[in-house]
Amino acid sequence: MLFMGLMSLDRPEDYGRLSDEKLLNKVADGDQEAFRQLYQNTDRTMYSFILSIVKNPQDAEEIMQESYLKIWTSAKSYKSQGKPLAWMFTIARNLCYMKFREQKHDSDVTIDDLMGLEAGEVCKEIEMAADKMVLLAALQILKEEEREIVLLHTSGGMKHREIAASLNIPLATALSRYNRAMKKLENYLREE
Amino acid sequence: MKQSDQRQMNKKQIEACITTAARDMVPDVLDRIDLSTPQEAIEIHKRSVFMIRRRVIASLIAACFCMIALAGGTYTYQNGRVDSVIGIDVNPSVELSVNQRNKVLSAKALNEDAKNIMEQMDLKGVDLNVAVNAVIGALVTNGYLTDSDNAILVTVANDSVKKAKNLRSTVVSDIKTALKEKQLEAVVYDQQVIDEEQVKGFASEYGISYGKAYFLKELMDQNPSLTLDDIKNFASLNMEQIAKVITERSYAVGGKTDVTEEETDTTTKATTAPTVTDPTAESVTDQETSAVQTSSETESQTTAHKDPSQAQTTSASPSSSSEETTSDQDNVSGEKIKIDYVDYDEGVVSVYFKTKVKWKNPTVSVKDEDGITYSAKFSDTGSESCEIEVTDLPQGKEYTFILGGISPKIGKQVTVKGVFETPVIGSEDSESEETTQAETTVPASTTPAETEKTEHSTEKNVSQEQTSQKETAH
Repeated sequence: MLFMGLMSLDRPEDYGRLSDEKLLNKVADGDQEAFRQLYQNTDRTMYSFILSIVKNPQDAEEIMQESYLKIWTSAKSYKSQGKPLAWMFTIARNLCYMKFREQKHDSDVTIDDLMGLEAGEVCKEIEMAADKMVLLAALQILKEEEREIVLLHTSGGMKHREIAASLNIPLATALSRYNRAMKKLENYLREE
Repeated sequence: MKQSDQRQMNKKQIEACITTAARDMVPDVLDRIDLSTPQEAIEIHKRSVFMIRRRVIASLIAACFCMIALAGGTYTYQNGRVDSVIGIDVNPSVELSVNQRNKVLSAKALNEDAKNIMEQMDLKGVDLNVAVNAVIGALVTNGYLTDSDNAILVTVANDSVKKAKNLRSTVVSDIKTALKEKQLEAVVYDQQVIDEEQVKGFASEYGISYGKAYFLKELMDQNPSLTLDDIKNFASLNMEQIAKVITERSYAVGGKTDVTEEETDTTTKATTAPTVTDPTAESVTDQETSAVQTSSETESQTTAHKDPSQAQTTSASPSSSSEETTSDQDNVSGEKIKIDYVDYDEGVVSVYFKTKVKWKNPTVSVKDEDGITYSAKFSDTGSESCEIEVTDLPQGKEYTFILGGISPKIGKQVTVKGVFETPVIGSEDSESEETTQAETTVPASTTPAETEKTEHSTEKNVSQEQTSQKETAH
C-alpha cells in the first residue's frame, strides 16, 4: 500500500487531463511541461483567432509565436477567472493591433506596394484548392468580428458557448453573427 | 458540374472547407518559443496594483477624515468661540463668556469678592440660565444680596445688537426668577455695551469691571452735573451703594427696574448702545426733534393762529389745581403707532395712542431741550395708553420722551417719540386758560385736519429717519 502511495506521488502529473486554467497556473510557476501542454491544447484555436484578425498566414504565424512567448512571460499576471482563453485572446489581439500599427507606419512610404504584396502573399500561400478558396473568401468578405467567430468555431473547434465566453459577448450574439456570416459566405460562393 | 456543386455548397461544407484549410495552415511555433526567457516578476506589478488600490482607498479615507474634521472643527469652533460676554456686578463682579448656544465657556471673577464665591463653582459648559442662577445663589449665600437695598448690574456685550437685546432680557428674567425664589428684591440695572477703549482704560485704572465702568460713563453722560471726581468716587462703591446714591440724588439712569414681587414685568433699559453712543444716531434724534417742532408749528398756525411757543404751551386743565397740562404733538418714528395726545399732570405723563399697541420690555427716557435726562419709569402700560412717572421736572419747559419696547398690534418693535411741556404755575395762568379755551372750542371741527397733518409730519420723519439710517450705514 505504502509503495502504491509512493508510486502515485512519484508518478508525473497527467497534464493532458488538466484544464487550461490549471495549466496556466502551473505555467505561472515556471512549469515548461504545462506550457507545452497548454500550447498543444490551444494552438489551433489561437491560430484561427489570429488569422481571423490579421488575415495573413505569415503575420499570423509571427504573431502566434509572439503571443505564446508573451503568455509564457506574463503568466503570472493572469488572474483566475475561469477564462484562460479570453486572456490569451486579449494578448493575441493586442499583438495583432501592434502589428497593424507597425504596418501602417511602414506603409507611409509604399502603401500601394504593401497592398499588392499583402494580397499576393495571401494568394500565394493559400493555393487555389477549393478548401483554401473558401477560407480566402471567408477572410475577404467577412467582418473581423464575424471572422473571429467563424474561424474559432470551424478550425478552432470551439463551441459557440465557449466562443461567447472567451470573446465576452452574449451567446445569442455569437450565434446570430455566425449564422449571418455563413449566409454571407454561401451567397458569395454561389455567385462565384 | 463542379461549379454547380460549389454553387450549392451548403453551410456544412463551407465549415468543413474552412476547417481543413485552416488546420493545414496551423504552424508549429512551439519549438521557436524560447522558454528560457525569464518570466516577468508579476508580483511587483501585482503589488503596485494593490498599492494603487490601497492608495486610492487611503486617500478616500483621508478625504473623509478631512470632511469630518472640517465639519467638526467648524462646529467646535462655533461652540468654542465667545459669542457674548455677560457681566454681573453686585460688588463681586463676575463675567460669563458664553458661546452661540448660550453655554458658558468661562466664568471669570473680576475682583477679590468674586474670587471667593467663584472658587467653589465650576460653571464651564453649563447653560447660561443655570450659571446665572448659580451665581445669584452664591451671592445670596455669601451675603452680598441681602433682604434690602440690593442692586445688580447686568451688562451684555455682543456684536449683534438684536442678540444682545434678547440675551439681556433672558438674563434679567433669569435673575428675577432666581431672586423671586430667594424671596429677595433688587434693583436690576441692565445695559448692553459696545467695546470702547476709553471705558476699558477707565475700568482697568480703577480695577472695576467693564460693565460697571460703562455704567458709570453712561451715568456721567446723562447727568452733566456729575464730575469726573464723582465718578471716581462711584468706582470705589459697590452697586448697592451706587444705587442708593442714584436714588438719593435722583440721577437719571437710562433706566432701572424695581424688581419686586408685585411688579416684575417692567424692565427699563439703561442704554441701547446705538442710540446713545453712536454720534450718527444722535444726529438722527436731533433731526427728529426738529421735525416734531416743525409739525407742531404748522398745526398751531392752522388751529390757533398764535405764536408757536404759545400754541405749544397749551391747555390748562381746569380740574387739576393750578397744574397745567400740555398736550402736544406726537411723533412717530415707527411704522404704525400714532400718538393721539400726551397729558402731563403732577409728575405723571399719560400718553394715549390712536392705535392699539403691545409692550415688551418697555423702556422710556425723558430729556429736556438741553439734553438733560430725567429719571422716568412706567407706572402703567396698556394697549391704548401708558403712564410714565417723571420726577423733578422744572416748570415751563419742553421735554422729549422716547418710548422703546413698544410695537403695533401687528408688526415689529419700534421707538416712539413724543413731546410734552410742563406748565408754569402762577403768573401765566390767565394766558394758558385762554389757550385752553381756544383749543376746546375747536377740536371737533379740526380733528381730521390735525390728523392729516400729523400723518404728514410722520411721513416726513420716517423719510428723514431713513435718510439718516442710510448715512449711518455709510
